[in-house]
Amino acid sequence: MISVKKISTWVLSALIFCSIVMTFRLWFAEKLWPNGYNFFSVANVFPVFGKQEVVAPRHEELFMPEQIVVNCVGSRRSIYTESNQEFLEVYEIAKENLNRWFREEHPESEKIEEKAYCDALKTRSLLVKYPVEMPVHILGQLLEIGDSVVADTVSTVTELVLVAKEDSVELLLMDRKDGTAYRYRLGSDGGELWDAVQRYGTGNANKILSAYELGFYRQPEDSEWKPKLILDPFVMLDTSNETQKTEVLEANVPFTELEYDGQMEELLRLFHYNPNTVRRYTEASDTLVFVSDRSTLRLYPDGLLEYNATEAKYGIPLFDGEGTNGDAQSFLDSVDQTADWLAGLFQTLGLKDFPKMRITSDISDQDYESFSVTMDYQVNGRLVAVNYAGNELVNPLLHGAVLEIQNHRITAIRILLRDYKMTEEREDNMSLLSALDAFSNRTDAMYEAENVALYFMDNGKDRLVKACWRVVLSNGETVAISEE
Amino acid sequence: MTGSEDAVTKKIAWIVSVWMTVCVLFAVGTSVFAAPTVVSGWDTGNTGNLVYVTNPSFSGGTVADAYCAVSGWAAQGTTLSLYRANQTGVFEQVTGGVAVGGSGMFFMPVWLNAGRNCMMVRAELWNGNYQQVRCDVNLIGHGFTFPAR
Repeated sequence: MISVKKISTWVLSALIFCSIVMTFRLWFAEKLWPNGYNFFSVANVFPVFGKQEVVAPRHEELFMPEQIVVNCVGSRRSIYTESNQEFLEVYEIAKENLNRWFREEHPESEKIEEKAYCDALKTRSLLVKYPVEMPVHILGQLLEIGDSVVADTVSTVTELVLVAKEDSVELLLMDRKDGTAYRYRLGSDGGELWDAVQRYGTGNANKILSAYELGFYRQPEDSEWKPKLILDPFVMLDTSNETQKTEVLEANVPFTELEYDGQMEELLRLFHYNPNTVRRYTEASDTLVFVSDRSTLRLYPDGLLEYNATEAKYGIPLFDGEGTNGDAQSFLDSVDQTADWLAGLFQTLGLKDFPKMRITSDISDQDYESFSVTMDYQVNGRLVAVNYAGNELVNPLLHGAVLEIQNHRITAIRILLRDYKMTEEREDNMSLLSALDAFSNRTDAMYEAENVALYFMDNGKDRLVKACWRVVLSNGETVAISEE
Repeated sequence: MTGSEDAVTKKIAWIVSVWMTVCVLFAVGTSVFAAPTVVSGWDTGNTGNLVYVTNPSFSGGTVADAYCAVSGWAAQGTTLSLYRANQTGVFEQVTGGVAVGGSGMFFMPVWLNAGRNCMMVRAELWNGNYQQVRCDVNLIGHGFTFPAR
């Protein structure tokens, strides 16, 4: 009898406790369950059977080289991008050698002429090319070396050339800040790099030559010829001069079929809103707007997401730690945390994987406590250039994502949310020379270009995204060249 | 033959004759302005400033890759041809009819023969003005490596 009384007392206590907790949640936190909640669904109780977790890329992936060129003498040049299986293998070889450079306590270096630096492309070498200027101390962190004495001499680089000799390895680079070229000797065991160059120099890019090799990198010294366009010496140009076949992508907006009460609540929580208290309305343009006294979130029907915190302290916290040292490591930590947050966003939107993205902003002069970073989508090794025109109410957007981070808080986001799918369709693009001609036909002025390549071009409107030639000028402008 | 049939026949004959005249004029025109199939290695042309060759960077240079893109800048509207000397020293056309556009840039791909390759770039304008620039290059064997710089 006693035991039955005891049990009933425990049950009663538990029920009273539950009622207090549930009342508290009902009043102060949320509804007891969202509309449309399926009581019979137990999938979420056992995450292993539930949603697959979207894995965020680490900072190393977000700062991957754009391409690695393997120069093997005897018409056996190969170019690897992330779309190639061998890319990571070649990158590992480059990393091993760069590690040696960063670990040197007394690096043996000498200043060299620009010609000697560019000539490295004509020998057995491996060119690691980054899409943006990379501060050397950030590179050191990416390679998990930490601080290195080489960062005292060289500030930023865009290309690193590892020259393979039978008995030694040399690293040639140019400091982009002052234009000084250096040669570093990386020890006497060059055999591995030599073998790697032989192995990976298969000749898949024999007809692709650099602007330096073609002589398009400067005005002729012995002639009064005035070229209309001068290219960076390391721009790789396809000299076959044939039309280029590229894939056509389908640009899907991931939140058009958002389950209003389930996914939307999850999305709002990601932005640190209380779904029950946040004010929401829909504009005439079908834009969903969520407003609190701390921030505003807008979801445009074409996939643009805009978030703005009213003050830096109200931004989305990336992590609880206080340690904002303002150094390169804390910067990369912030990048990782931002990627984790974006992974949460993509997971909420129902994407199975994190779309391939890379950081495309100049990070060389960043204050690492408060910074702005741009990211762009990449499909099959090709960048997606966003050219979202906007209108009188919406500002244009020229990157896949623009994020502002202050003291480990995301204070502003503009992201064109996309889930790109490759279609069966293939599109013919004009030849490189035709594109350069089309560029020059538009102007009589002289230009210097840092890159000329085929990019996917997403204007935020069309469902099908096609590739087109794009000239990136030294003044930071980009010019898209289409046949229309 | 009725009057109307006669008029139709005359009309057809007139169209045919106009068409044939156009064809003959076009054929004559293209053959007159087409680059010759062989040129002299000593001829530098009847004008200058039509073309500037950037690769090979200097005539007589040595390369290790058999694939070469002869490149440079040329005046917009010129037509370029590339010639290479055969074993008897006659410069034969390798590539022709390369039109130069607004950028002025050009490249003409060619696979080099082992040893000495005597080449010539010919730039030609519609009015008969032309310039020829020599660009010789030596291809060394694959086993060769450049000495350490």
